[in-house]
Order: sequence, then structure tokens, then C-alpha cells
Amino acid sequence: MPYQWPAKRTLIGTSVPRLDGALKVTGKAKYAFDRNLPGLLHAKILRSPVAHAKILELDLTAAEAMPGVKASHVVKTVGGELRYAGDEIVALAAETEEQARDALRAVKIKYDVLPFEHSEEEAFKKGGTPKVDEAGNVEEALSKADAVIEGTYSAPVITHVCLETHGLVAWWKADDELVVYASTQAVHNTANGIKSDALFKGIPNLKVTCETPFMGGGFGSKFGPDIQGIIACQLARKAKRPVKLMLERDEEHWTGGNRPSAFAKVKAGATKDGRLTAFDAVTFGTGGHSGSAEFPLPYIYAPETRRRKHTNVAVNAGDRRALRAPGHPQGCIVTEQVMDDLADKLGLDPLDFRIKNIPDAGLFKTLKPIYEKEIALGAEKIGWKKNRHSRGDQTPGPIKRGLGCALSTWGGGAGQAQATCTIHPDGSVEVAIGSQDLGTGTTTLVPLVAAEILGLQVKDVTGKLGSSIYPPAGGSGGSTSCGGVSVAVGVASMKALALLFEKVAPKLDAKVADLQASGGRILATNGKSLSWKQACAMLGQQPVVGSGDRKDGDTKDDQGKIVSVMSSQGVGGAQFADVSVDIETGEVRVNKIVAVADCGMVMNRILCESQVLGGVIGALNSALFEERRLDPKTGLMLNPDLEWYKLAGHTDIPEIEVHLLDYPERGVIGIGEPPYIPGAAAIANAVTNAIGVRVGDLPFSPRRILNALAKK
Amino acid sequence: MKKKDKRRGAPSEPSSGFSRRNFIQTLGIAGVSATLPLAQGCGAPGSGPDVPAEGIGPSAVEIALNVNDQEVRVQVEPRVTLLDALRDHLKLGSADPVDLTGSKRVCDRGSCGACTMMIDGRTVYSCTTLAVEAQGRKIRTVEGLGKDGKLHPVQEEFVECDGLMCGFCTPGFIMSGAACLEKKPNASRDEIRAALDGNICRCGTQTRALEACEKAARRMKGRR
Repeated sequence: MPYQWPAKRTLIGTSVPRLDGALKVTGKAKYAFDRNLPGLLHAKILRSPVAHAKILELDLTAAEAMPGVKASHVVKTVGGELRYAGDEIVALAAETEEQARDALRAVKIKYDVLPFEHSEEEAFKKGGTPKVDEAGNVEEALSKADAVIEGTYSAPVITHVCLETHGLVAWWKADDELVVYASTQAVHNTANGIKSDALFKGIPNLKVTCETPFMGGGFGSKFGPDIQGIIACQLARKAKRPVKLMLERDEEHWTGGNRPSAFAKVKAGATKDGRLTAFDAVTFGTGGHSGSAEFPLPYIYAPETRRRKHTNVAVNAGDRRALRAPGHPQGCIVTEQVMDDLADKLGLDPLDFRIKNIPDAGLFKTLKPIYEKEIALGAEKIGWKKNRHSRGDQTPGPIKRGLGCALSTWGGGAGQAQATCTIHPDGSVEVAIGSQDLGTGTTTLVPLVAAEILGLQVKDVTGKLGSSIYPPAGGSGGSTSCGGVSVAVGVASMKALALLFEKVAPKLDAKVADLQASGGRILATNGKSLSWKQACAMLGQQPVVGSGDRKDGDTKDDQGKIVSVMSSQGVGGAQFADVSVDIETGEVRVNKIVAVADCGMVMNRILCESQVLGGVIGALNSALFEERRLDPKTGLMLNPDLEWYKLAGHTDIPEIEVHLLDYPERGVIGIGEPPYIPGAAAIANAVTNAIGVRVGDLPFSPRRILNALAKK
Repeated sequence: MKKKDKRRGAPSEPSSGFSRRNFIQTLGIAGVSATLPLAQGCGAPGSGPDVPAEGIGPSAVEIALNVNDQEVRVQVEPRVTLLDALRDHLKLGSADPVDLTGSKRVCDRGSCGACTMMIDGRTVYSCTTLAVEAQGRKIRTVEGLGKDGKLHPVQEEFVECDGLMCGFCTPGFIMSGAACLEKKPNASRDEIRAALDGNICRCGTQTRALEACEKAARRMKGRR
């Protein structure tokens, strides 16, 4: 019998406030940034002040003699190429942060300043080899289409802006024993990354532990030690003292990761009954000095005839990293604007046009009825039938109002994870798993799942996570943690419970199969029962330990295909936006967002809703505010801060309505990324619906709105 | 309320692509190649960190701070901010170290609110307040908000309503919300919103942070 979730659930799907909430609201939660160890040194990195250069001379003599300096580490030396403003050169560790900063200024360095590229549009004009993806004859399909639209759409590079910057505290407890307190979304990867780094892999029997009980945001950018983590470990080793190296805010913007830009010129055609028949796109984007800028296009919809030429271009700026559903928001932003443009041209309702074009194959076959349900619910909640007008609000006055919609999809299958569940003779329960909590709620999820299986309350179970000393689990990316952790913990708890049942079955004159754990008791079908404590006391001296692996949740179906009834992947989502645009000032205000999210079996309702709210707000930021600006004259980032790199304040946040579609029969599916995908496209469509013209380029700053209106 | 939304206001620093720090850093780099365009037009030197504050410094001085009704003594250079003094320097000067790392350094230039503390009942950005300036005043941090081991109503409601995710911005939000409601327990939704407007969150907790403050307001109002 494959492992499966209990048919009757008392905790899963309810709302359990996060267990570490009290620590976070009182300031007692210790993040990497907060670790102050005895003898701690502070490290800072000297970075390239120019967009592209070669190091001609480098002299650390004066810097190393500065007050408080205890260790130095050269990352790039004479002859080294600096590929962007912010590229690492030298790091110093000193008694205080102030001394470390002072000492960096005493580093003597000469650069040969080289030509640089700051603009992906300029880089694209210079050429490059596009990747071509083609099916059918696009020209012919376009010529036969009843309506053809042509447009350009773009989304700029945006940065992750983790509030806790990247970095770690490194502490060598012994020559071959290193502990790091890291801000990471992957404790095991971080420990392994340090262990296998060229600087340390020669150390015999090196033991590296990564501790991350709390971390201040990752969003896809914190999967390993990174160069600054390695630097901190090396400085700590040289100084024989613990070293803290957390990036400054500007460094975080320069080097802590970003989402690649996406530029698209699209020609698309459809028949008058609303079938998308041709999609022809020339696209490019930058992932920095060496990163790529791929994104799926067309997104969701798959017209038989399509052509795409995509070019990755390089600029002298920091490299890309995964950012919440990598590639999908860009694909969604382009495709969903095209869909509205076509629907408007054909005079069709954009919702009907979408439903008509959702593919009938593969995953989308499963998702199509879900999308239909989501679209119907979202349309009702946003007032689509009543308030949605054709393109351009015709009412008098400068404030124009509009509605828009966009769809999304994502995987979110269970990631690799192992866990142990230990039931002690005193009745206490410990569940250990080497996963981590990014603010997503894993700390609460672990005991919630175990308590459900063991028939206990959440408070009866101690969850142990956020450290690489616990059984390996994958990094928290791809929305895979909720599924992986739930299944591994669930199975580990089932196995531990089975061992307990073996011990107590004779005492209850029952067979193991006739026992169940519920309401803090072990119940037999013969009516006899024991309290949890009484039952555990029968274990004698030894606890019982169940080990679970995410893979234990897999089973084979009739065709021999591996399936899991405890988790699955593949979700569809729909979001609706209601916006007002002042056509005199160009200001866009979002009045309301309705987010309908599909996430299989909801594990913890309140935290699941928070994930969706967070995704919506993230998307709103990218639609209205966020943009990495590089100076054409110097190649430097103009806004590596939090006032010119704009994020929403409280007064920018609209009313947000979240609707979770619960499909427990599909098992657990991750929700971290999907709700971040469609919001920006929904806002884009609502803006066009309001003002009657397509703005196309994100973010919708007053300047862009007014420029678009001027071209009307 | 203290906070003006700087993102909408006049720039506090020129948007030349230089943060305060890398600007200083750049000036300090000796022997920069002549072809480097950055050395020009960066403002006059002399406003750098080497000009001592009148009377004290530039080396570390011992100061006394009243934090959460407790006196702490700390050795800091006059240029050290109140935030950094409490987060990083307490261990250096104190025999009985108090670990006050609840207030967070996120932007380090008064635009995100993560470092929000109260001084004499008013909220301040502690990243733009010098430690030496805070002597003789009553400083309150997120660690000192609860009383007698009990959470402040705003703290309680943040947990109940899930007004937090990663939690890094949370202490700042809580201080802004608590300061607003202690001053005006019947604050309206818009007033609370304005009070929280200077706090930035990346996870997207604003909706429920507002809900938490509104619930706390109802409780605090009832108590009077």
C-alpha cells in the first residue's frame, strides 16, 4: 500500500500561526546578520568602481597596516579582469566595520579602464547568434489570420532586494571544523559548497556545518556560499577568529542577483472566432556579464505555427540568479499583453479568448478546467461583467479606470528531502530535516505534518530544521520545499508510529492494523485505548525512529509510471487587476487585485494565503516601480539603494483578495512562486484597458504612461 | 508621525550612482588611472569621515545610553550610528553584554524603516542617528516593547494575523505600528497606513501587517 495522507485530517488545511512568530516580533530571532560571536571580526570587500577594467597595480601594504586589520584576501590581482562595477577585488577583516571600511580605502590600486556595455538594446543591435525555435510557416499563418497585431513589450532587469543581504559568519572551531551562520535558502548546498571549494577541499576530514534557523529573504538568490561566503571562511581561517561578512545594500544590488530583462517584438495572428494561429517573436534580454536571459514564449498558449528568435546579450553588470518563478513572469508579461491586444482587435472578451486557447494537451489538459473555474471566480470577484469596458475608459475626467487579467502556470513538485521522526519514551517527539524556512513557514509545517500523522497537537512536536546537521533536503527553490518536506516528514512520522504500534499492540490485545493515533491517544478497534504518554512509556529505554524520504511517497501506476499520491506538480493561476490611471500626471494606482491560486492540498491555510499575498505585492512592485538603472556614461548602477530603487510603501498596496482552490486529492504542491507570476501582466492589461493605449514597457512610471499617451 | 516617504520626496543624496560609502571608498583609492572618469565631479573632498566631531573623537569614546530602561555603556567612535552601536558594539564595552540585534540594518540610509526605534516616544531611523546624539534620551527598541514577559498587543496581533514572513523588516513595522497606536489608539486605517508607509517589506506582508495593527488598535482602545 503506498503511503498516503489520512482521509480525515484535523490539522492539515487549517490555519496555524507561525511557530517562530513570537521570536521574530520580539527581535530575538537570530539571523546570520545578528550573530555576534566572541572575538568577531568584520570583513568588507573592495569592489570595482568601474564597469569594465583590468587591474594594473595592486598593493595591500598600507591597507594591511591600518588599525584593527587582521587578515586580507585577494580575489583578483594584477592582470585580472573586472567585468562590472561591483566585481570583487580584495577583502579585509578588521576589529570593527568602520576599521574595515577605512582600511579598504588604503588599498593602492590602478586600473586600465576598458570599454563597457550598459544597454541590452545597444548590445542587441551589435548582433549575436539568435536561437531559433520554429514550427510551421509563420508568414503564411499570419497572412491568413483574421486579425494581426504587432507590438513591443519589455520588462527591465530587477534585483532581488533581500532585506537581509547575502553573507555569513564563519567560525573555525578547529583546524578541520568550520561552522557558518549563513543567510541561505539551502543549508546543505551551502555547507557542501564551502567544503568543495578549491581553498578548502585539501583540508583532511574537513567538517562544515551551516546553521540557518532564520533568514531574511532569498527569492531564489541564496543557494550557496557565494564568493563572499568563501571569502569570509578564508579570512576567518587566516585570522583564527570568527568573521562576519554581510553585503552592504549597494553590494546586494550589484552582485546579490537579479532577474534578467526581457525585450520582445511580437507579431501574432488569430481567427475571428478566437483561435490564436500564429506567434512570431524576436526577443532578447540580459542576464549580466555572463548570465543568460531565457524565458518561455509564448507562455501557456501553444499555437501550432510559431517562430521565436532569442538572443542572450551581455552587459557589464552583475549576473542573473533565479528570482521567484524564473522566466515565467517575463513570458507571462509579454504573452498576456499580446493576448489582450488580439482579443481587443477582434472585439472578443479577453477571458473567453484565453479559455479558448489553453492547450488541450499534457499538463494543460488537467489544468484547463481549473483555469475555467479560476477565471469564473476571479471575474465575479473583480466585477468583470459589470465594469469591464472595451479598450479605453470613455468616461470624462482625468482618472481612467480599467480591468485586466492574466494566467500563470508552475510546477511546484516535491523536492528531494529526507527526515527522521523520533518518538521518545517520555512522549516527546522530534522531527529533524535539513530544510530551511525562508519566511515561507517550513518551521511550522514540519511539526504540523508530524502532529497530523501522530494524532497530536502541533505544540507536542519539536521541529528541528535550518541546519546541515539534519538529514539532507534540497534548497528551497522551485516551490519544491512544501511538497518535499511534507512527504518526507509525513512518511517518517508514519514509520515511527508503526514502530510504536508494534510495541503497544499486544498491550491493547489488538493487531497493529487495528490501531490508530487520534486526539492524543492510541485507539484500538476493540475499544481499548492508551494515552499517548502511556503508549510511549511502553517503549522502555529506547526511542523509536522513523526515517522518511520524499521518494517513499512515490508509487507505480498501472503503466509502470512513477506517481505520488502525497504530492504532485503543475498548477494554474489567474489574477485580476483593477487600476486607475491619472492621464494628467501619469500616476497608476492599483485599486484591487483578485488572486485565484491553485495549490493542490492546502497545508497551512493562513501561511499559504500569506504566500499568495506576497506574490501579488511582489508582482505589483515589478509592474509599477522596480528597475535597475545603469548610467550610460559610466555603467554604474544609478539606484543601488532603497529610495531610488523603488518598492511599494503601505499606501501603494491595494485591496488584495486571495482565493485558494483546494484540491486535496492532488496532494501537496508548492505555492511560493506561482502567485508572483501573473500580477504584473494583469496590471499591464488593466492599464491599457483604462487609458486605451498599450504602454508595453515596464515599470509603469508616470513618464512611460505619459509618453504612451502622447503617441496616441 | 515621523516618517516622510523619502522615495517621493526630494532626494537626500544626488543620484550620481554613488552611495555614500562607495563614494568615500572611491575617493580613497589612491593612484586611480587618469582615464578614469569617476574622479571628476564627485564633490569636494573635506566632507569625508576624517573631520572630527567637535569635542570628541575621532577615536572611540565611552558613552552611556538608556536603552529599554536599562543603562548600557558602550565604546564607540563618534561616527558610529545608534543602530550599529546597539547591534555590534555592546559586547565590546559591557561586562554583562546585552545583545540587541532586533533592529535591522537594511538600507543604512533612512529609507526602509527596518532600524526603527523610539527615542523619547518618537520613532527615528536609528541608522541615521549617531549613537553619541542619543545620550541622555530614552531609547526603546523592539526588545523593550513587551512588558513583564508579555508581548505588546501589536506584537501579538502580528503573530496571530501573520503580519510577517521572513521577519527581517518586522521589528521596524512593529515599532512604527506601536508608536502610532501608543500615541493614538483610535488611529484610523489611513493613519496606520501612513505610519507604516516608511517601512519596506520584500516578502509582501503589508496587507496583514495593516490588519494586525488595526486589530491591536481595537484592543488598545478597549483597554483605556
